Amino acid sequence: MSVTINIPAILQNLTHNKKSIKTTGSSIAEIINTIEAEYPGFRDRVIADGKVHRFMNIYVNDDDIRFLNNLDTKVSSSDSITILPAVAGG
Amino acid sequence: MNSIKKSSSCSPLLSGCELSIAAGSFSPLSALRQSLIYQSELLGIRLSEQPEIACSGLQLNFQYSNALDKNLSTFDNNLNTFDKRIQKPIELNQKEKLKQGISQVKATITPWQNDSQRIADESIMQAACGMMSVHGRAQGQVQALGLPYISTLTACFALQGLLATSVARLRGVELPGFNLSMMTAGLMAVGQYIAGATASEDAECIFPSHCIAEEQPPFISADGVIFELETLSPGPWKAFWQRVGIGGVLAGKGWKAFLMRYAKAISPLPREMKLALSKLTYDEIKRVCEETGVAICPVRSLQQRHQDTDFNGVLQQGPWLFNETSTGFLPASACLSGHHLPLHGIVVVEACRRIQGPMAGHLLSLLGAKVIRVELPGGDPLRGMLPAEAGVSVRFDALNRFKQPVEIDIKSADGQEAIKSLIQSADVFLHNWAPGKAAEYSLDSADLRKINPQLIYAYAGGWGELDTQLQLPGTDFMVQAYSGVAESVGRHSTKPGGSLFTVLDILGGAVSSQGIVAALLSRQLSGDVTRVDTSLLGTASLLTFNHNQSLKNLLTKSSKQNESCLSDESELFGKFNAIYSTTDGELVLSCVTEKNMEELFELTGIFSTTDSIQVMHCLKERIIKKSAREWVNIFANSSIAVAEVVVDLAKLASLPESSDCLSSHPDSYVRVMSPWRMRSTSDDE
Amino acid sequence: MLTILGHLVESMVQQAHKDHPVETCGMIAGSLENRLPQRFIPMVNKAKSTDFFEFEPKQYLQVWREMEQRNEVPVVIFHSHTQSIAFPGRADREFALDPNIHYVIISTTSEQKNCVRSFRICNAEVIEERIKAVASYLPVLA
Repeated sequence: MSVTINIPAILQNLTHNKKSIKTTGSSIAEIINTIEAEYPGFRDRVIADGKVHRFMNIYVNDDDIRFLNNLDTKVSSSDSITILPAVAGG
Repeated sequence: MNSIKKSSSCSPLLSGCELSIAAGSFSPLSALRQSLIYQSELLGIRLSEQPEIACSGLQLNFQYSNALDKNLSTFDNNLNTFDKRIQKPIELNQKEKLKQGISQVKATITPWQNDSQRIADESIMQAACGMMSVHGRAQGQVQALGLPYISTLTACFALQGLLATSVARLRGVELPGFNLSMMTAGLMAVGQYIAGATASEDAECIFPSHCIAEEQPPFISADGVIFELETLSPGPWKAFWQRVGIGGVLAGKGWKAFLMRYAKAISPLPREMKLALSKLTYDEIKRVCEETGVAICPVRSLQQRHQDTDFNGVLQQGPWLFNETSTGFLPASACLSGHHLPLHGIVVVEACRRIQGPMAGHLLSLLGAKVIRVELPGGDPLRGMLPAEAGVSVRFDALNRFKQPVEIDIKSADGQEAIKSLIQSADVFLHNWAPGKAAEYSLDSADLRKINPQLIYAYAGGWGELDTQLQLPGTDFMVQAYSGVAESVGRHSTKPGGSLFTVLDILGGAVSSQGIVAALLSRQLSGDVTRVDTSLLGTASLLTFNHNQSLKNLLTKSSKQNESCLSDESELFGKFNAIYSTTDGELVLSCVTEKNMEELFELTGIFSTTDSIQVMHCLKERIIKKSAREWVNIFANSSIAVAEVVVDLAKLASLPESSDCLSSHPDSYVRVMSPWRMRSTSDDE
Repeated sequence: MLTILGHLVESMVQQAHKDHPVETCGMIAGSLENRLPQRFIPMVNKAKSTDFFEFEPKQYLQVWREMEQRNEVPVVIFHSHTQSIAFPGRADREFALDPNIHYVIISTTSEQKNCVRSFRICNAEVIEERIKAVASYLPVLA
């Protein structure tokens, strides 16, 4: 099963400047592990302490996975996954 | 204004920064203003002059926003190419104008601390802060220092305050500006003498009238050469005097007096000593000096100094040498809001002895820096110098009270490692070791930059670039003699030669800390890290720069002001400027412009006459009939500047003019407070 | 230096005042080629806090998709400080991941009176830059 992931500009240096990656996996966690295998260092930028890194937002289609099942959120082949750096501050 | 051409090819340190100066309409502070302009131009700060304001001082606005772009050149080049295509700045209506980027750092400079309308000039301030008394000790009478000393020092403090406040803003400390007075600058200059005079035990009571001018250095040879001697150890001293026929007992007495110069501004030598030298020619004395290891330097004139081959370079470079610049590191930033001193969070390691270097460290600590002071094992010997409170010399405490001492033997490998570990987290390293020592200890700038590439390495020395050329100790009195400062001071005093007040050490300390603050700002603006070398000799040329004719012409031409000339001696000391006796002490009066003469005649009841000798004579007769305080009140709202000559330094803490600048507790000596009164809001006052 | 149309600066300030005492936030998008701020995009502060802001995630995704379609990038990310000076605080520095972005802060405290400052942030290090307000982005004829 193949899904497309949009990679934010600040992580593209890890993905050989690819703006999107096609990969496989049935949950966000699995997908990230797959990407990590190909592009080492990727996982640590997106996940911290077993959760979505607070500096990142991960969306499945239109939804932030923090409001779904977090990293266990299931994905299917028609889904579009987007990672965006969180914009926040004090 | 045209900039002064720099001898070096590199761009001035603070190019892109701007300073606007608004002078008071009745401000006689041209010496201060000119020094400020000179110092700013040397640093590459662009100047503009604003319309006159109703105040006795100067209002300064400093802006660094145009210099900010320097730091982005390494950050990205792409944007610049696009920015160049974009012109036509928006014309924002003055009222609608948003406070984009950085608003200006503001400073108000007044002669007096607590009266923004009262006028003064250099001599008035020297009288009111006790400087005439300190300088007068070796003169046998209160005496003005014939140089724009407080003006130069105040200009140095003003610029340094503006630069430090800018550093703060770039580090996230929002400080709008500060107020500064010539009074606090003058008091800061004599702070150690005030400490000595107000110690709770063994306070010194040294009044000019108790001292005898003839007993003080300098010396005069049989062929009429005026000269200074210097040695830092008693061995050569004893040998020297023995060779000219002065025995051990007298020489020992003389040594004690000679050592007093730095601390007490007097040096009552046994008369036999000066007499012995007056029978020998300069060459003969010089030969004895060479053979016994005592340093000798004739009191040279400013003209002689101006002919030295290094002089023009020094004048154009200014008192600081910024070199060994390296680029590429972004300055550390911190959000420090809530702090009220501009250099909060900056760490300085100071390895200095005596006066100049400690003064620089003291000023940085007053600006909020954390200063770690490296002292010899057992502590700096000057801690023991009397008078003392709680076991610490008050004079020492006056310059070092806000520092954290650490005892390190810099000669040992362990000590050098200890310094290196302090350096790792420091912003500034400042030392005043003798030339060559830093390299010997492996603590030179290159060594320390390897440990901390962000470090600003500062050296406060004696002779600057002449360090290796002149085989003379770089001490205050030697540099005064060599630089022409001593001769210039002597021309306005009862005796030839320089001041025993440490004129150059104090100003040199201010120049050093100013250079350090300028380097901190440059680091914050551009990421460039630079080494800062300053010297007493460079300080001397800052103090006397307006005596140089070519520079004077250049500055006069470039000044938009309709002033015809720079502050020379006649401007420094207004008309009828003199020390007048009153019923209870002395008064300095200065009639700043010709226009004020009518007012002077009216207030003193003298009939108008054009004969100035007669006027002086009448003034003397009138002024002696009332007390100094009465005259101060009579002239209070006039355009005539007056001040009581403060003879007893212990009185400063109770006089209305100076008490606001001093902190006094019944059981401790009187401390001079920070000259920079930081403002908490962006309002002007 | 941040070169920016004057009316965009005013829009940021106005929005900051409208949202005061809650922190405002938003973006100004521009084309990837010239990185000039063009399109003003107010954002919803999910935190609705007087000392924190966060782009509302769903709105942010929508805006990001639009920008992708238009071949735009965020040139300016702005927010306000309603209780402190216009200088990046710790959280601002931690979240600022892209050194190409101009982080603009508007202070709305009574002392600061619309102080607007722009910063570039890299590895939590801050350097300030000048803001040059222009009436239009006119290419100069050679």
